[in-house]
Amino acid sequence: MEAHAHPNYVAIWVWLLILALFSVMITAVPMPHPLMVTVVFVVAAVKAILVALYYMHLRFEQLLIYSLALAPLICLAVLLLVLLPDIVYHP
Amino acid sequence: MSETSGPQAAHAVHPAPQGFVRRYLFSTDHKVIAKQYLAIALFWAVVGGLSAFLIRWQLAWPGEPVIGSGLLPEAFWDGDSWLAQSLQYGSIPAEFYNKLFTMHGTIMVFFVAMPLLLGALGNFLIPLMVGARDMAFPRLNMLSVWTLAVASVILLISFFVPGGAAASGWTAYPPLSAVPELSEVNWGQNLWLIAVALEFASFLMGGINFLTTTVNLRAPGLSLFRLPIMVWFQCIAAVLFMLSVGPLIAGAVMLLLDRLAGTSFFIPSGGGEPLLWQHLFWFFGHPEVYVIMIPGMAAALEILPVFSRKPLFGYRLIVYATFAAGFLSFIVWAHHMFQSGMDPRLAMPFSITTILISVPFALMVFAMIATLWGGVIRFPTPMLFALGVLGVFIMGGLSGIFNGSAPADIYIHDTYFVVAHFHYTLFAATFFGGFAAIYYWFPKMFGRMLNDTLGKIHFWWTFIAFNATFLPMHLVGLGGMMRRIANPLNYDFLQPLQPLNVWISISAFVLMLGQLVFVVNFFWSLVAGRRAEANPWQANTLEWSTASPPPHHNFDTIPTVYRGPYEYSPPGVAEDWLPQHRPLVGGPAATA
Repeated sequence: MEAHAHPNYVAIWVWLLILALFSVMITAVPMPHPLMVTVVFVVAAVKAILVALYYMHLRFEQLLIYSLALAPLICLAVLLLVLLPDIVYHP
Repeated sequence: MSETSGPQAAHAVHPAPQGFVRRYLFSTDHKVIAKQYLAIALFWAVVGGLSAFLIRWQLAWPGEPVIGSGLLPEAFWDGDSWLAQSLQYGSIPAEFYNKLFTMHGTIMVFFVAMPLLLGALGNFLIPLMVGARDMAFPRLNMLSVWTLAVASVILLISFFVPGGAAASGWTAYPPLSAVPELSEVNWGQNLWLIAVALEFASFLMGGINFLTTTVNLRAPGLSLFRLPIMVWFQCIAAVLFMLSVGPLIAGAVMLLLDRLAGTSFFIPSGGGEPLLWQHLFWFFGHPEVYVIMIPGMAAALEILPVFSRKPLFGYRLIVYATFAAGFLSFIVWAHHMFQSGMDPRLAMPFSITTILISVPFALMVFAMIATLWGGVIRFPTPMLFALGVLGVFIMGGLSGIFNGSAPADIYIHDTYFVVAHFHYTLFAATFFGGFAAIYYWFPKMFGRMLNDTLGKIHFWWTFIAFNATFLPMHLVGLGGMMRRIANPLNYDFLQPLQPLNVWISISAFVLMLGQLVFVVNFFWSLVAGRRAEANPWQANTLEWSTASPPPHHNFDTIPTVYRGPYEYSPPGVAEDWLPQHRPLVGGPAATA
């Protein structure tokens, strides 16, 4: 196992806090609902990617690891696909 | 990985910690942690069994005072103790009955089956079977068992808070579970959600250890396809758990917010969608039953070759089949929801995937039978329980075909047929698989043998009483008796079934009584059992190459592995077994 520099976990944590605060505060800004939902989801995705890259060390692993990280994404896609008819188009 | 460097090196051997607290309470030794899991599982098994006793009492003799309650004076029942409040003059009120079946399911699935089959077996066996000194992350391992202990305490407290324990079923469907006024349970349900979420966190940490240890700490020569099936299955179970539990942890937090913070994720009056919870629950719930089941199957698959003195039939095929089952388990969950009002277009695809998933499990069953074929079969207690897994699991699989196809399921959904089905499958894995494992690995865990005569009495008692209990339950279910009703006598069409209910209850009591044989055997053998040698069953896997019980550092020297784990009765060898670590002159090289 090759050595690698440890990321600055505290800095990542501060970034996560800032982003969380941002997604709460953005709801106070008047803007169209779909836009706000998009912004909140983009911020959530950025936070998830930060956690995966640094806390889960994906950034410091070989490319093969990314193929493993695909599995939960596929699960998520299946779950959402099956949820759609029940949640979105429900009368 | 050589023996002179890396985490397996001799300098990685630490002396065993001294002092009771470091040694037995806050231990980082995987063997001690496994025993802690075992203790937690056995404690909860008693509580879960008692709840089953009360459930069956109520179903056979609804409203009658529970046997023995007459011994307590009238004044006690007028008091305001927990027991007096729960049982009204000794009989079971409907509200308390709801708590009983809720907690029975929760306890048996999350706090008995998982700690026993993953916590205890996985922790004890994985490092020993891969030839490692301990888990890859010993402190994380300690954290996982103590997180489970905290979850256990929270769940235990929930019985005694005002309003009592959760009462919305082990599946906690909203809106019943989301609105406190509906089930008249407030903090019991909140604590239930917290306890279950903590339990999930605990097993996530455990799973990380299982995978990391297996990937990184294998002994030299131990290639992936030389791993015992138990290690494979524990790792597959860990992956299934990891991939499925996330949505439900999120769901549990959302449900908690619905209850405490006024959100409406699942409450229709606020615009929420109760079906979302059912999807999230079963997206986890179905892989979860395989998380429990496959380590139980693995115990049987480890034991059958040892006592047939034959190699396991179709080793690679079993591994591939389990991968396939694991993959399929993520696309079958809506078969729990055929009657839920979900989009009916989902019924057909989920019926098809459900029937498909029986193929890999049938393959496993055939591999078990083929392993026995032509073997020199002996019948010590672990073998009897392993055969019990095989027999009972076939029954459970057959009834599963009816549940899995939507047209049939519409008639039997939510009846005792389903109850019979999942007891045949999960009982097969948890009870028969768990007992097979305990009888088989007890000598390695505690250095003494369990008494074989008592073990055989225990097996036959359990096997007969189990079938007497759950086989008639299919009939009661086909007769239309619904799950989770407190009093079958309230329904005219269930009156003719009442004698069967009484029979089932009496059989269940006999089944519970039979477990006393095991309790006596366990504690008696712990102090006075015959001392076990290193390899009492003449088995091949690495855990039998070290002392019973193993020293703190597991292996004095890390063994080198020369072959697969199931080389029984190999040609050209004097004995009928050939341990994985024994070099043969002119045999295959160590570096496969």
